[in-house]
Amino acid sequence: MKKILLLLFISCQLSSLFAAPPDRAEELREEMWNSGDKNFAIKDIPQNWAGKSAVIIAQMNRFEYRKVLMAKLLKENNYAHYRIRLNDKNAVDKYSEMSFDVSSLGYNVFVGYKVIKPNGKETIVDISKAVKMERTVNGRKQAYNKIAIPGLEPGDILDYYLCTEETQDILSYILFFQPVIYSIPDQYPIMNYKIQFRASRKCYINIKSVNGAPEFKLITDEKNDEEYYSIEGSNMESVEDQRWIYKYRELPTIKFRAAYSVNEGMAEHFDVLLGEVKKAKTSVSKQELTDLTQRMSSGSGGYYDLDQLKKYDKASLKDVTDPFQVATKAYYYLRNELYFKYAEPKVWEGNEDGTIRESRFLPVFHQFLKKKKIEHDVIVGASREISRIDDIIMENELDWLIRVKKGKDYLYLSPFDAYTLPGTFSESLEGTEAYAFNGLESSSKWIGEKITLPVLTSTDHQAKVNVQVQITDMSKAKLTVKKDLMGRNKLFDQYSFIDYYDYEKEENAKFTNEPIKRKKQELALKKAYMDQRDTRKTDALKRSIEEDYEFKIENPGNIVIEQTGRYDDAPAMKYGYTFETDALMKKTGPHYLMDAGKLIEAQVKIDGEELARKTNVYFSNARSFVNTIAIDIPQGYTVEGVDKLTTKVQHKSGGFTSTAKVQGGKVLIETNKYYSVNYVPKDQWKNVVEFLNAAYNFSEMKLLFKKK
Amino acid sequence: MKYSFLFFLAILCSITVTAQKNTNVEKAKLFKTYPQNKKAKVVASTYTSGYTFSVSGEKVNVVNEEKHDLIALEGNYDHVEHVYYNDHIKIEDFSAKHTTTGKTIRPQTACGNYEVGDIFYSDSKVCSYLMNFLYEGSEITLNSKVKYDDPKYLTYLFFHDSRPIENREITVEVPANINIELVEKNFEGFDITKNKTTLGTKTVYTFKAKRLEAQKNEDNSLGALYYYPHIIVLTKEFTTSSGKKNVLSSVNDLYDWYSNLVKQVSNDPAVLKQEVERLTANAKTSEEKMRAIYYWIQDNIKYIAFEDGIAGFRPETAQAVYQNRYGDCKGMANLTKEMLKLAGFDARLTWIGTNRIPYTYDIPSLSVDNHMICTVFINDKFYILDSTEKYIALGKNAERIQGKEMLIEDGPKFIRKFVPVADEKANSIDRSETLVLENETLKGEGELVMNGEAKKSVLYFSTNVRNEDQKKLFSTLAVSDYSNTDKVEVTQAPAIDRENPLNVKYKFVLGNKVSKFNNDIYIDIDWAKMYQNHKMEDDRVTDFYFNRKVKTKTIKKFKVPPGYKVSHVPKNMSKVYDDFAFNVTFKQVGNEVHYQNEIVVKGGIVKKKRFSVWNECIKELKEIYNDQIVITKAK
Repeated sequence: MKKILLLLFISCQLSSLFAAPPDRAEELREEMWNSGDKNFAIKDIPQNWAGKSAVIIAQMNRFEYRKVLMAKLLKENNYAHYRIRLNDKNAVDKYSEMSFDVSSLGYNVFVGYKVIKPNGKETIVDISKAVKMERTVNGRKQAYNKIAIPGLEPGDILDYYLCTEETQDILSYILFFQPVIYSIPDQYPIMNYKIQFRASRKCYINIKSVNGAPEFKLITDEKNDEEYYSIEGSNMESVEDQRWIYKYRELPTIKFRAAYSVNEGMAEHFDVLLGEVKKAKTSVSKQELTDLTQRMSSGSGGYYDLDQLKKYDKASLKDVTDPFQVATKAYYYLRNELYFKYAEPKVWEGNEDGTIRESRFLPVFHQFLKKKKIEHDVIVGASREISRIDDIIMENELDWLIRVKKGKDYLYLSPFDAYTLPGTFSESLEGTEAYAFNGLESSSKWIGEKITLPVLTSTDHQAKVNVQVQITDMSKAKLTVKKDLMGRNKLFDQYSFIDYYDYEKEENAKFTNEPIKRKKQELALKKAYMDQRDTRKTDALKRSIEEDYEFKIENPGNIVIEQTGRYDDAPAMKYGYTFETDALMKKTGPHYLMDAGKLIEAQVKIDGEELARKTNVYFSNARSFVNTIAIDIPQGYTVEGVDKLTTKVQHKSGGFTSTAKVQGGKVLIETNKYYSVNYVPKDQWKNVVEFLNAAYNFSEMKLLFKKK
Repeated sequence: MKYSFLFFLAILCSITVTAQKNTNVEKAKLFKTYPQNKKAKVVASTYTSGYTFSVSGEKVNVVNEEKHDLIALEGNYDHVEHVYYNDHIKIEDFSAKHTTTGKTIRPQTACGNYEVGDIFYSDSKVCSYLMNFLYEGSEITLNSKVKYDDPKYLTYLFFHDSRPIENREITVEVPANINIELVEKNFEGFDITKNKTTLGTKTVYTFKAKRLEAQKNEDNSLGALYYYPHIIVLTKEFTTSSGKKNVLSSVNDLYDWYSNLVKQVSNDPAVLKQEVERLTANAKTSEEKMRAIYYWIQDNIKYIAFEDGIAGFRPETAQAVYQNRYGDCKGMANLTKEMLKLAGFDARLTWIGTNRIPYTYDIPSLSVDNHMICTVFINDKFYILDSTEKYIALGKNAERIQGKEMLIEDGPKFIRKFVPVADEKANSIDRSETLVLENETLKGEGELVMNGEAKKSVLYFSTNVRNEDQKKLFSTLAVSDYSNTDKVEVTQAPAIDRENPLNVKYKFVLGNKVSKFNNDIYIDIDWAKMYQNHKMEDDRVTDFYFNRKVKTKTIKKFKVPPGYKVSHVPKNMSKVYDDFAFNVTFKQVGNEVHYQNEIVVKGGIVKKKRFSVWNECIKELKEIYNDQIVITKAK
């Protein structure tokens, strides 16, 4: 869950606070345990779930957002009630020790636990037995409670509730409550569930069910004279943790958010997909996305940045006519201006990462391109792992980009960090539908055009790894590794092995950056960092190699960064290093076996349980790993087994191929493991398994060196 | 389901920094050249600890004043100093100052509870002080003052610390009306000087040491009490105007204190009666009765420990543990005793230190034990029941208490006995497999038989993983680290049976264990390669403890396919020493190759002085594991 718009803020101050009425605990206990809800009276579980660790018999979650009468206060209340049958010791262990928040002024916590034995005997846990874990940090108290649930045994039902009621001052015209995105399936199957959403009449409500989750219904609560939204469902199978799944895209999911406005008129100034007061907003129209994008791209936060960019334009771009070149140079200029100039001190504190927010990036770039009359689109989309664009309901599900047009070609621009390039954008938007708005048109006339953002190929996100292997004393292998990394495949290595001082020179060669006079303390931090820099890099390298290869190594070093991959004219990150290992050579009788397959790094293991996949497969992106390996055949030895190193498994979703030959006293191996797509339907999972297994089996292959 | 506090470094975001004039770069550079400081970021130039005893009214107090002169060996180093306290130990003062200028530093401070191992709640608290050493050579002096309101809780004093120390000094100042004894432990091999002087009516003991390495917490170690020099403080008695008072002058006092706490426990056997009757209804012999009760407690009482003040020493009532279905060792021991008493047994509470504590009850100190069990006497035979153990049979004793001295209730007196020590056979793990070659895969059947500690662990895990995950657990037990295309089928899952060895039977078809080169087929017969990664590191300080005595035996019979002959088998190995032994053999018997691998570590410990011999064995073993059986197509 990412950002909230810059213009808006969530108020979290708790300056004027009320305590809960003394009988509130009793009221809630009565409501939770004596509501008459028949699902919370069930004692038996279906036979087909008897083998599960636990079964959620009933689950209720209620989210309330209310205005306190006659006071400038809002209440955000969360109520959760679970009735769980614990079938095995694992579940008993898990629920034997529970924790919950401690009440404080303006924040009241109510809990109740009862254990129900198979014979129906109910025992309510004495909450006063809870212990408080308390700590004072810089004068502020922090605490939580822990309680041990007594008498719990396999076969028991634990029926418990955890309710929090928080009061906060109304300090702004509008207050946005924490958005919720929630996948309903749990690690345990659910017999019955109910999720309610109750908001004050002055609240804006955004609410949506996706991926087969039941639709919210508007319910009239005559007793309390109010309406609320509710979904109810039953018989939800459990889900296991598994690789390559986007649960908000695959599993029944609900999402909602409430916002409270003091004054409807004022709310318009903060309109971020708010809809109408009292009426639940269940979809977002193209026009609303248009309006929001218009506001985002006309933000006023970047006047200074724009001013700087205009100066740069005047000084350096007046002779540049190609729109892509203008955009590219402007992009690098802003990256230098907004990121590079502030990066050095962050490095000393170990805090180099971070992206300039799109609320700062978008208006500056859009205004600049517009002023230059360069054709471009402002694009609004949604991350693949969160939502389809047509299913979004809240602004924090959205991402914005710019694309510059040149004929039929586009140059995409996204908010930058130290390494982002013009022409690239987050892999999480690849292949997603989005809306594009013509940047040269007056935004009041914008009409969104639905587009599909391009999907990059496995070669766009490629890792080429060249490994030269020399064997010494027939026991140790020295590996000289050169990597040439593109797209998403270079990010980890850039963040791991490149720092500010690796790109300082190239950045200063492109831009006139005045040396910054550092204070004494800053110079000390820099010295400390520089003193430890080599050691840190070598340590990071060792960790990375051992993680990649999964065997022990020695003497990692000689890291040489040939190319940082920070500019589009040299987009690959290129670097090299060396290390040694005695994990590959094995003396077998008079001969030597070499674990040559392990030179392509450790491969994915697919467990038996994973073979029968019930969900579609979501890769972060298409990608490929091309290995070129040259093993020097030791003097006086011949090699056998080279013919076994040829493999070919190719599918639409990806593949693994390998070839090997002996040439010039070396064994030359070439492999290519590639994921062609970023999504595979579950019925094609077997093809994925096939090429993953081919790669795994290759990694187990051996060469035999025989004395001549 | 559990919360936990964020670690201090995350919470304390702004940091106090030191100024350059407080630096001594030359000293830092010199310190860096000392071998003991090789990996250190900070060193204590001096670390002094003073313990001052005094009588106040009818009580003895001890004030502990600590002074650390720290110097950073690298710049921008964030240092966290921890000072621990609880209901009997109060922090009275803490200060941090620049060593040379004396200017006060205000460290970021976090004080309160922290999660202590597997203890659910305890009164142990910590204050953590975070400060930054900006420069290499920055110097900060820390002073703290802590007061003990009861000298029982001052148990031992260590010389080492988490960072290297150049000059270490411990002083203990005792007035004439307090009688203490300082017991020196592990001083051998360390250059520690001692001095005893008189200061008026006080006696001052001074201990000094130089150039101490940072204390390491190593995996598979019995712990600091075995290896690092320390002083056990025994506060025996003191005299006031009202006369002489014992603190812990002997094991009698220790027992008196313990048994007084036990007397405060109001057990209500009536609550347990029905359950005891139910459990023992069909038991025909005494042992069957005992088993029924002992195993029920193991199976049904969960270990949840509250060590809040005196609750750290006084058992919970038997009925509370029974009704809660949880308790700590004391509560479980008390419940065991009460249930057995109801069944007619002479059951007694028993204090004991696990093998992490190298002391016997010759030392009257709270540091001598950390556990409670139950002992049952039947005529001249005694049974030791540790209900915190899961899946242990009656008559068997967990490794962690074997050989340890027990302090057993005996009315106003007590009995001291040692827990019998089993040999390594009690922990034997035996695997036998038959293998055939089929289309360049190894097809086989196997049986795994486990005893002792390993059996206990497997039974515990198998009954505590989710129902859904049990199958995978047993498959992994059958063939460790099987790969994508391998097939493993468990044909007989182990029964929950404490009395008999654990037995798993299985079948498998494994790829990637066979490599074919022309007419030769190479077979990797032992893929588990047990102990091949147990090379002892050169810089390890403490003996290596496997947490159990070790005896593993693997027998594999590989059937050579028709048309092939055995052209190579790895060499045999036989290294037999008093403390450990490796025996590996390959034998051709008819058309089979028989492989046997037996490894024994008798005490479960490889002593540091034996590391070089051990490592030689591991090197040889690894060479055998790397080697493979080769069969060649007959011409």
